[in-house]
Amino acid sequence: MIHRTRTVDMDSEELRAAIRDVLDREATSERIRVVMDESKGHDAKLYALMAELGWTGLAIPEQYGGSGATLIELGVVLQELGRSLVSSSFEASVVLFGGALLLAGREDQRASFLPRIANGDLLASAALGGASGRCEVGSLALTVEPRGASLSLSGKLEYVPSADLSELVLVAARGPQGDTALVLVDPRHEAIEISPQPVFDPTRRFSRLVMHDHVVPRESMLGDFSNGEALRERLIELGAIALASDSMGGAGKVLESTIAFMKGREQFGRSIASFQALKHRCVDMMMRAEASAVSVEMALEAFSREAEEAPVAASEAKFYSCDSYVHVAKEGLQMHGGVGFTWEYDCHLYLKRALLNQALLGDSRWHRDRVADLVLGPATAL
Amino acid sequence: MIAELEALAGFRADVREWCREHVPADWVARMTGASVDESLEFQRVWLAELREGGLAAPHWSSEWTGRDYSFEEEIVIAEEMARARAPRLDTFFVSLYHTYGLLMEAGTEAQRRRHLPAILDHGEIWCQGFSEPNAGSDLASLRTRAQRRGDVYVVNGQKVWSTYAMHARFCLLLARTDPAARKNRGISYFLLDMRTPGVEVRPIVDLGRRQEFCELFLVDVEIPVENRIGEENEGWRIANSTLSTERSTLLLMPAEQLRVAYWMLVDLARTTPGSGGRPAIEDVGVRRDLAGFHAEIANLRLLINRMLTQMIRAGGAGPESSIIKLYYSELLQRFTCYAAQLGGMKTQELAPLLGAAPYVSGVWEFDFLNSYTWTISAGTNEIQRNIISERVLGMPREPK
Ligand SMILES: Cc1cc2nc3c(=O)[nH]c(=O)nc-3n(C[C@H](O)[C@H](O)[C@H](O)COP(=O)(O)OP(=O)(O)OC[C@H]3O[C@@H](n4cnc5c(N)ncnc54)[C@H](O)[C@@H]3O)c2cc1C
Repeated sequence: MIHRTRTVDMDSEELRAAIRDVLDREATSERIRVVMDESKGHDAKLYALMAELGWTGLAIPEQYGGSGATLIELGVVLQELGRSLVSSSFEASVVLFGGALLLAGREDQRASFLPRIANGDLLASAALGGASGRCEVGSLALTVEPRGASLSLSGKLEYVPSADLSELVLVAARGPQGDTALVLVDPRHEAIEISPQPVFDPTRRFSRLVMHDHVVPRESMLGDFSNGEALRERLIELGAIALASDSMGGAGKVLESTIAFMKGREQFGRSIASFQALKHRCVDMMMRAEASAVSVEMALEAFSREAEEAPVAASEAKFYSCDSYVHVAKEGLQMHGGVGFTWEYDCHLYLKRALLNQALLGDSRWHRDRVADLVLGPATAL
Repeated sequence: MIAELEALAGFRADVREWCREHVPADWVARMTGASVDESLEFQRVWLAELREGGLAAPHWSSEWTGRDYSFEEEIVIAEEMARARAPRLDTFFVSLYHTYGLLMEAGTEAQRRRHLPAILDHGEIWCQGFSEPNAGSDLASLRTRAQRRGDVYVVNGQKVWSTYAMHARFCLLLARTDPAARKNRGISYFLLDMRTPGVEVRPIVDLGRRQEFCELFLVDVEIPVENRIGEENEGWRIANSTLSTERSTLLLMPAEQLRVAYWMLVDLARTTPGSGGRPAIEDVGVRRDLAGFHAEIANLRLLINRMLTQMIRAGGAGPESSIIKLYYSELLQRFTCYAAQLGGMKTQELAPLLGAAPYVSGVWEFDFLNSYTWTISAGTNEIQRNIISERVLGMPREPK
């Protein structure tokens, strides 16, 4: 039986325990595998439960049917989803799409969509750029042209998370002045060609959207040309923090299960966990996992306060936590020996998800460049 | 380059010409996403092609192949095959290396006559049944039991991770014949006919979702006494001496493939956008990383050359081979992981997989995942480090 406790009014650690309790039962390794094969990387049954338990509406203000908690609580959900390798549209719908509305939506947009995100009824997504791991405006392959009361969109969007399940996708497009517009489109519209882009990580699903002179009313815009790029950057930061959270949760779980495995595995008449060569490496994994945790917490907190240090904190959390996840998942696989090389054990699923997280929404090289620019100033000014 | 190879320019030209004529230009495209049957058929055809050209088993003696190659010529062949991006004979790996090495060193004439031509002429596939669920790194603790009854041994137990066992006609089997003796003293070496009643093979799905390695369940399997290799309870010693002779030249091909792969990585850096949308190869950090790999790959080949030169001049490899395996496997893993990361989302895209591919196929994430074959199988890198620290550096064993 599921405890149907709503997640309002809990402190972070209670919240974490409650979420973990549910996911340990509802997002088992067996279940993850069923979902990855049978549905489009979205566990609808679990998602309905998540909505019922209030996870989807956690950071949505009460006036829109949410519980008005902060990004910090939402971060806990994301960490736990990462820990259990959950396949769902949560990041796309709640974090990116919901986050965009909260940052820049008009009242009518908020009122029509946020309650439906909170109750789990609306699946949506966002396409912010980042093909080939880079996220600058120049990398956007979609252009927008204002035409009277309309906008015309042409080009393509790659790696749009769970777009094939979505009613709406918020797309970033490059404007005529090199500026940016964020526009709501209906991915099911006949003028939009949508095709799957499968990735190595089988827990996630992406699509490519191609459109040519797709005309939408100007009201479909979120914000306007003057603040589009700033908004896109904020959303990249938000997405980056979400991926950092997922990575932190995943790394913690890999460390835990690797140690549990080693304690139970005997070779040479003793538990392999007693070999110093392995113990020291586990401690290194732990250090990285711990540092990821504080880095992610800092980023969540800075972003939710709209603090000045949020951009640096977001990018640092992204590359540190994602790089650490890759490191921990690699080590975890190796320390499992032969079983680590099987489909049945989860080691490879974590490793594939870690590599994907690292590449999404700006790879580590891109975020390091960004931090260097923000902290040191542009290289040419030195 | 190894000085001794310079005199072989003519030979090299011949091999290169053969490769140009025979390595199917489109094999990568044809075999990408191929079914298991198609891959097997392709391996058989390629083996036959190589046999016709006298190149299937350059390390075998002329008694079986009709042609003796010097060690130097063997090196040239491996280099040229890598350069031509020829398919690997991975299905026949155990057959061509382990079985040959074993039978030549410890087999009887009758065993050689039965098995070696069958491998070369009919493509008989062999597998290796060493590891068990509870005996991996600590292989000597294996428990599969072989009991002598008249002129047969009756075998019971379970093996695991046996690569290509589902296609294999024979298996190189280690089993315990004397449970009272010290761990590695009570083991014997057998040739197991996979069609014997009581042998059950169950494939295990690997992390690339392929079925290559298998579990073997052995229930009252009878092995004729003449299929024992060497004396009873000598299996451990035989296994160790036949395994170590193979490592020496085997790394040459992967090392050469890595040199080819280096330029594939450079291409990736040319086509992947980096800072400010400029190609990643213009990024100073990427350039430094690529310079690092260039040096490491060169060093790998130099280490191998040093070992080979030593072998040409003095015969027999020292402990270098296990150091080189460690060096290679970690370089391969880092290199392929780096490429998978450099390509950003592009390299995250799932691509159809390729059987018999070089160790670096250019589907980078797949290559990276596959690199764990090198760091886990045939003695994990942790075990290699233990062995090297104790046997080469002379450091004391860990206390029990
Ligand atoms: C792709 C693949 C193909 C294979 N093919 C074959 C085959 O054809 N035939 C066959 O017989 N076997 C095969 N193997 C099995 C392989 O040889 C074993 O997986 C390997 O020996 C490790 O054993 P294990 O899996 O039981 O891991 P374990 O021995 O349980 O090791 C688990 C971890 O503990 C570490 N460890 C163990 N002991 C120590 C120590 N003393 N000090 C430090 N660390 C230690 C290991 O390094 C590893 O990281 C294959 C394996 C793979 C992955």
